[in-house]
Amino acid sequence: MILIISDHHDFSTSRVIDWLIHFRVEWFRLNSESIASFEMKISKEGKISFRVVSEGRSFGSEEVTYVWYRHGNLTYHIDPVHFPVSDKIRKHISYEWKTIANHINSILSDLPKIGNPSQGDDLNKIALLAKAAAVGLSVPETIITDSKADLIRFQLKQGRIITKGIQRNPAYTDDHTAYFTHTKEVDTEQVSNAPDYFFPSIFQELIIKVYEVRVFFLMDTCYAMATFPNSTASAIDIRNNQGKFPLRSTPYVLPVKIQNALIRLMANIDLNCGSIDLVVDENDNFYLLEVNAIGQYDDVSKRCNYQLDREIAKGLIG
Amino acid sequence: MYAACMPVRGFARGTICDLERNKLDIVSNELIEVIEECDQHSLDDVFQAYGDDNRQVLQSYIDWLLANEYAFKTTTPERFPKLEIEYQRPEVITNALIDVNKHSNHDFSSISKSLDALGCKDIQVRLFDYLNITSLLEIVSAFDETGIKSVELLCQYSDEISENEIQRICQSFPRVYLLVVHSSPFLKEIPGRSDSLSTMGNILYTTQKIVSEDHCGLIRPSQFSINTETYLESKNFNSCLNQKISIDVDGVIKNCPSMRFGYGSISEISLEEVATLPEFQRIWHINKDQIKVCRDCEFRYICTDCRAYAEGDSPTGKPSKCNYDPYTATWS
Amino acid sequence: MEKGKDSDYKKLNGLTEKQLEQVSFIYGLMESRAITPPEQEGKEVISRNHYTRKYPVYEHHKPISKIIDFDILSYVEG
Repeated sequence: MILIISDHHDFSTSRVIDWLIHFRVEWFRLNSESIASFEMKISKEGKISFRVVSEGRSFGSEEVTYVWYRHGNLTYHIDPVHFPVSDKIRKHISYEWKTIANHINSILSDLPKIGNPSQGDDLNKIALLAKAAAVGLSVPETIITDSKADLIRFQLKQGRIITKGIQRNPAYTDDHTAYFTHTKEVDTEQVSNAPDYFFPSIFQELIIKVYEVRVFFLMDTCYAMATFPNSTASAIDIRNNQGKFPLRSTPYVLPVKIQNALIRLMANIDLNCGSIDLVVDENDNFYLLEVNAIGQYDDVSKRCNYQLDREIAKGLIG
Repeated sequence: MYAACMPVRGFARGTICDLERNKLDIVSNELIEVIEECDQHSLDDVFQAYGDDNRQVLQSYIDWLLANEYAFKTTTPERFPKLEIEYQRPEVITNALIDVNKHSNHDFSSISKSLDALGCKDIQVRLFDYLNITSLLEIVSAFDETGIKSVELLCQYSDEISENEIQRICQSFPRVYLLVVHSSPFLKEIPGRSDSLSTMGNILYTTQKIVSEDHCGLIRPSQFSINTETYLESKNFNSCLNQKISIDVDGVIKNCPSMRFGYGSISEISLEEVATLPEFQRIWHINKDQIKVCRDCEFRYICTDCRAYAEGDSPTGKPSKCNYDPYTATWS
Repeated sequence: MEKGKDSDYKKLNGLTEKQLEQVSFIYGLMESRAITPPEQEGKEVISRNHYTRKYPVYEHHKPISKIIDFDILSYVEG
């Protein structure tokens, strides 16, 4: 039985399930926040097994043959209305549950899987830059600094530079306004207006891209799509589309040495499924931008007709 | 060319179908020939092959393609493959059509279960005669708690049903994609609720009188679908009947209610049984390249089709209600 | 979309110019846009542990039947 750990809103999960139904295999969708009842047994011989009830169905650990870590964590639903508890108690319960959840994951981790529960959304981006270089990808000149003096020096040396969030780009909403950030170019005026010291921020040489490549990586196969910027703004950050149409995208085949580099990279971070963003400059250098353990692949799949829902289903069947 | 920009040759002229931006440009077959040459050879070679006489025309074609963002220049063409033409859906049936008139006696609850079991995703219910609001609600609610993603409803106008009540149907049942009120004394369009992915709950009042399945089978440019999914389906299968099942006003299961041949009454045979019959599925494989006249038409992959009302009553005849002549490139 | 100004994130955080040093550089380049408040939530759609989504999404790209003559309709605004 194929176990899918996901959440309520994930549409791709439903589509993969459509394929699992087509292939006539047993499956169980475990959404986060939906464990209604749970039992774990430890036998005299030290064998551990568990049983979960969720949304009116149940399964036992011994039935699971393959796991897909799509989204979300295993959470035990504590109903605040029927079980109002103080913060102290809530903290203890959370800790106890984490122990159980960790153990569920370690029981399941012996099974073949797509995805990895210990790699959440937050693969350390600083580490990733170093790993990218180690496998032979290009890395933009980068500094993380809190000093204006350093920044001035860097800008003089590199010419055009950009900044962004180190791990996350800040974004907020209040009732009426959404505040958000993209990768942005930093000009000399902004640098001279900066205070002498600021919170450590990341700065990189600006890469003028010819196109960006979004790769959905699945079990050592790279499904790639190239997207072309249509303005300087989108050449800096592809999410910054100023035109009235979506940017042009087209299926793409990565050069073999880049594919191999990505295979090595993903093996290094123990991830067999995820999305990888690369940027290609006019000298045909491939720069790694980001690796995301929870890959949204629907766009790539539809636009390039890669049938990724079917491929994931086939992967889960083994 | 960007893979989503499909050149299609017709007899007299061609089209470029922009599947990504859902639009169409009519072009000469000459331009398509240039595109095909550029697929195989470098730009320099193509210019050389066409010679100096044609240089200016050739340049204008290339410029036009670049300006419209249909094509781009690259030094590594081998990295940019064409779109895979394969089309495959996991469901047995993807869409269904149910007709109802005042004599019909369909068990919607059981129909809904069967369609759900077949994986059906989109349904259209056509009510040719007046039905009161309670019956309308009963029909739509039959599709609750299923995997069905959208329901379109056609119902007849009546003073007894207010616009508010119509709107409430859409609000209470988020599955409703489109509610058409036909035979209405006025025209009105009320757009539905949008999120970033789609707009559901659109309402249309039309003066058109839709009293039977005879009115179906229209071939019009307003019905063209220019998107990747339908293009791929059209290339491989029949763009109307592929993976479709229907129930006519008398409860007979057919490929579509306008076809004469039926597979039995819904009270005697199940939708699941019929859907898996090889004879039932045979018509799914008649694509436009096999249909007379259509095979020479530049619109063939974005057009809808109609096998029920076809010329000469032939399974491969051109749809009778199509007024386009690809040999002269005119609509009559 | 307005280009982010110091005033935007200051309004958010009540920061002064001096406190710029407390945040990363990118905050100074923040943008903002007005958002419309979310509409009333629709019914939840649940089916056999399979589809759970508040609003079903219409993805069928072709007409199921061709009985409505869209050519003769003249759309009325509003």
